[in-house]
Amino acid sequence: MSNSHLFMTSGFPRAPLKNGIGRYICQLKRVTIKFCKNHGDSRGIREFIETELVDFSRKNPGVVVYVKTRRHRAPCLNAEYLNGQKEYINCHNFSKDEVNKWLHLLLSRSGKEVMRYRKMWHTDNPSIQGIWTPFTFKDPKLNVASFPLNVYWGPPNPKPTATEIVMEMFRKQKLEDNQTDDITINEKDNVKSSQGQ
Amino acid sequence: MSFSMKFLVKPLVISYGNSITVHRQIHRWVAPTLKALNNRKREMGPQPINRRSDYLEWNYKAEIYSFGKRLGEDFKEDLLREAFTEKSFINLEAEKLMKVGVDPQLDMKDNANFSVEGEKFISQCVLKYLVSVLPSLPSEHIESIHNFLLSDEKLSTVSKNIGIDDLVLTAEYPLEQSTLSRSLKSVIHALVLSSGEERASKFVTDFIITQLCGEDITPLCTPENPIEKLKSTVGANIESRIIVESAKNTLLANYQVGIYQEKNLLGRGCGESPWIAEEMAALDALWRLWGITSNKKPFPIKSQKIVNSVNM
Amino acid sequence: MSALGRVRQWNAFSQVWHLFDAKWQNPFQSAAVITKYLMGKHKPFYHPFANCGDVVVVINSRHIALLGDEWKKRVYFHHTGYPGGASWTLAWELHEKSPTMILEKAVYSSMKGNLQRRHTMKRLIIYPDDIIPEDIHTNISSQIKQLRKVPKVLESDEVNNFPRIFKLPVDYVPS
Repeated sequence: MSNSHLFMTSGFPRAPLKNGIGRYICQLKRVTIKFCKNHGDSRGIREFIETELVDFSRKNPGVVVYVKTRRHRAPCLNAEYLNGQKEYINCHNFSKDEVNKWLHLLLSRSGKEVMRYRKMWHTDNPSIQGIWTPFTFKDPKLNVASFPLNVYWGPPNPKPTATEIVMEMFRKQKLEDNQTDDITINEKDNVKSSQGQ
Repeated sequence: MSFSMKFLVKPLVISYGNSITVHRQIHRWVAPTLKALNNRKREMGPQPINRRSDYLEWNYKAEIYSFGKRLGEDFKEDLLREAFTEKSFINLEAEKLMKVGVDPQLDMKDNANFSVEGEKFISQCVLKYLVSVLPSLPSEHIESIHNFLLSDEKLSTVSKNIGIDDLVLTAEYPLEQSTLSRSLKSVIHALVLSSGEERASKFVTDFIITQLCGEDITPLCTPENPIEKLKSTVGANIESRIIVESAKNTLLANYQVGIYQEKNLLGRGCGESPWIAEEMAALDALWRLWGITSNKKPFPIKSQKIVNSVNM
Repeated sequence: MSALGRVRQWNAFSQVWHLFDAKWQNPFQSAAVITKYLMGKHKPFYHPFANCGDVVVVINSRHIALLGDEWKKRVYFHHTGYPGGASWTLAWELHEKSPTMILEKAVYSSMKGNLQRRHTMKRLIIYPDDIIPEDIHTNISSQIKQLRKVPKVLESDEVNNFPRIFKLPVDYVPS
């Protein structure tokens, strides 16, 4: 389990100066390539400068490239970005292709500090329908009600009580009786009518 | 600190025959050295910060060329140089020459004129854009949004993030907000002269008007008496009703008020007291009329319709 | 923060006063629901640090219903800290002494025993009957649904008119 994230700064990905909404501008301002003319560890970078650097410069005219010789020092790439941040890459024993790849990485970076991203997205408007409030789904009837409510405010679809079952049976029976409009009178009906009421 | 900690944080390994003992990771002399250096730095006091142009790796001509290319624009070099030259710099150069005894006849022109013209151009572009995008917003609020976009604060952040702060020739460093905004305005005027107004208006859209995207502009469009303003806009027959009352007797009381006109809800606001909620409701009603609520469509930047309207 | 942002925040995090009628309800079952509202767990942006709990006013705690023979058998233990200070109080005895305590203890023990418990309990207001002081009554703007359906108590005329299958004589004795 690593702990490097514990003291690494954390944040969210942001585009510098709304880059991309209007036009996209490459955030790399200038690159300084420092190398030694003799030492072996600068061989790769020397090869890169001789073969691929001019093409890189022509393709990316927005990047100023400085080339500096330093004796007895390891070769490095120093990048400066539009937001003022700087990046340093030590190119000790890099091959030509490695230098090329690292240089293109610097080109694609925005100069934002290397940090742990808490979320891989950012938005100014996280909610379209509006953020939930305790009143979003509140029944408007409750706004004018007096508490405690005098309507049924218990569990939905409760099981009917014995009393309710009996009342329901009685009501059904009454309906059946009313429906039979026939004048056939029998003992049962007499008994019911005298006791039911 | 001039030392690289990599060379200091090494395990000091001492091996005696077959056994290997590892001692402290940071050399014994590191702490005292750093303390001595810090003390000397403190005694020296605050030192002047160097500009990027003071360092060896600097080619002004290349920088200016790259500046234009990075933004995707073609600038005429002499115009751009004029845009970057401040009056303080010219005065400084003249003083230096006078000290040596040479008669100062400098060929440089300062950017005061350019900045004035540039400001006019940006102002026109921004106003045109705002009027086309927010047609129902009253002119005083359009003006406040315009002033917000053209404020020194906003323009200086834009110019810093474009890379102008290395290129401006001034006497003082670090640069002030007014200097940065002045140079941005001059650069835009230089662009007008180099590439024409169409390209320059696109530049203004891409760099200055985009600063409005994602911003909540309701604080800029808040009238003094919102209820009076609403009455004058829609008519005096509006009435406010409390929609929700919560925890009335406590400090955390919350009210929601709706403003109605002929039983149609115009705006709804919430607040700590009914009066605050009523004001917010009036503001909400006005913002809905003006189309600047938080759920409005985003400001169009790349649409052809907008490009045509911003063009001079 | 702009004025709009400020009032929106106030609105979203506003504290709502709920009413709960504990008449003929099981206090231990009700405690689970009451605790949920006291902690603020019914809100989508709940966080233990956020102090987003709502106030719950409970009425009719005198008329709660315990299961089975719990009134006779449930025991509340208390120790004063001094030797010989242990006491075991039956539920019915406790209820006679304090008509709100059974429900209060039920809610307290349904919460987790962390440092937030005492603060959350302060949001609970219990009344033995349905008489609520006026200043508290004005705050209430919502009601929590009861968990057990309260059966209707029939009036005297409803009792007399209740459907009968047969009417037994007054002095009837089954053989």
